[in-house]
Amino acid sequence: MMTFEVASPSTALQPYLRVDDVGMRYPNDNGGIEALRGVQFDLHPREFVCVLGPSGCGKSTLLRIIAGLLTPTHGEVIFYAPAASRISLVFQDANLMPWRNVRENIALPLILQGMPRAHALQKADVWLEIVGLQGFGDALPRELSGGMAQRVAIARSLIQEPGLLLLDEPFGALDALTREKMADELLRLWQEHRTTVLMVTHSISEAILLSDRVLVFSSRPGRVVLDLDVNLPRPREEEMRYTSEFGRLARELRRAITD
Amino acid sequence: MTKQEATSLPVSHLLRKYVLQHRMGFVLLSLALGILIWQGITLTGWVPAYLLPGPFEVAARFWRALLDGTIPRHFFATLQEVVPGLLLGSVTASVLGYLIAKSHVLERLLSPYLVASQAVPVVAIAPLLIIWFGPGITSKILICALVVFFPVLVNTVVGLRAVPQNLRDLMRSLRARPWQMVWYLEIPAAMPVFLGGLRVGATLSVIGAVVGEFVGADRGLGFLINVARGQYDHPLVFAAVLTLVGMALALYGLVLLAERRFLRWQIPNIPR
Repeated sequence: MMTFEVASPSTALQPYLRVDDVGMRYPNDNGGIEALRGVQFDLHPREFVCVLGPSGCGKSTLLRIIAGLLTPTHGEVIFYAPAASRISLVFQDANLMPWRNVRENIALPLILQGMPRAHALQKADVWLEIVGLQGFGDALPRELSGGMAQRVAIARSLIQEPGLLLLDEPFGALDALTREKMADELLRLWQEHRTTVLMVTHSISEAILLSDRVLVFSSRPGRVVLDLDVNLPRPREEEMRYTSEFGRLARELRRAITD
Repeated sequence: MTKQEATSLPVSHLLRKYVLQHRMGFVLLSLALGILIWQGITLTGWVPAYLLPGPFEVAARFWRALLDGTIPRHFFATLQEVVPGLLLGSVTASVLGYLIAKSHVLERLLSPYLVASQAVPVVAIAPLLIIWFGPGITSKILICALVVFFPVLVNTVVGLRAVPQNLRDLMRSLRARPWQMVWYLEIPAAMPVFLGGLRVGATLSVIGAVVGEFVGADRGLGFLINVARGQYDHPLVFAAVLTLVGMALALYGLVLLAERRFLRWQIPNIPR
């Protein structure tokens, strides 16, 4: 624990949250499936951290535990930030309500918090513009492409100005080009709004391009096998994918995943 | 969609498009054909006219009964049973359906009774209800409610069970309160299946009222049918039956209107 804090650039800061020896076992007929074991790491305020790992390594389980949707069977998640700060979870599918139009979907978190509807819809219009969907406020989710729908989901998660943004393979269902474009946009949004982000992804280059730190998980039961700082300068651009430092990081991550 | 249909040319597609565009016209055509065949049969004389009156005779009898107030009086008497019965039945069914969808214990406790209540035909219970609640309007409302109850209940449970788990997780991650879960997620998500049940219930409610009036009543279209039959006034029987059909269709149409209003997000190509 101590060595890890010395290595981290933000030593002086209190962590935003600590995942403390978290284990998760799903019950089944023969003893249960162990999804996570002894997962331990800190997340610092305003940090962008990616979680990489083979499928079925319990990454989604971890996000759901942090979001409070699941209770771990071992260990705990400790929040050091004020209790009022909000956690926002973006899923692999945009997960929009098909009966609400785009504007109403984006405004949903505010409406649930009790903000007057008209005011919430106004704020949603601002976010429509930020994610580049002006003019689509009255469209229904079924009229949107996958990339557009995912942008609506991201706007919906950011409108409540969350202290922590959890992204569960948010671009997993998109084609490669849209995916790169969305990653760029996410980066831009994060640079402007600077919340703490924990993102699960399958893509090594996406992880390097976006994050301050990459956590590599082993396959079941999931554990952190590598905690790698990414010291590329910000703001980052697509071009960095072709630098030698980027290549070095990618090789290191690749090795950790295959081991 | 329209573009695709215009470019691919199979006759069936063109026909379908034509039928959709002229839906009202086709309804009228089908009615006209039916009346023509009906008139044809009575003209051949295969069936004695006192058993099967012709369409014009029925129309004339309907007109007379409409003007002398017979049909309106009995129509509104039946409507006063059908509508409250439909409301009572669907409200209790949706509340109970919600509880059953939420609680497996309750489901197991109640389902034997629910299935049993379905196995007993209304015609068998109707006399009992009339003995218990009198020949007045109360017993008819209860019979209507009883008939409406089951389809609405089943569809409420099925609709609620089909609420996507992803959206439940989303609502939970947004810390929705229990009532918000119901209002913003469960009601709209279950609405399509629920309205399907209500559509069935609306027409069943009319049948319930007629069954009740057959067993014991002094007003209503079912009562009118009984009386007219006793007087060998077969044109009036037909007129009353057609009025019932009209009532059932109108109620069905109201639910369809509700569907268009609430399920706009589901129906493709309806201009918003």
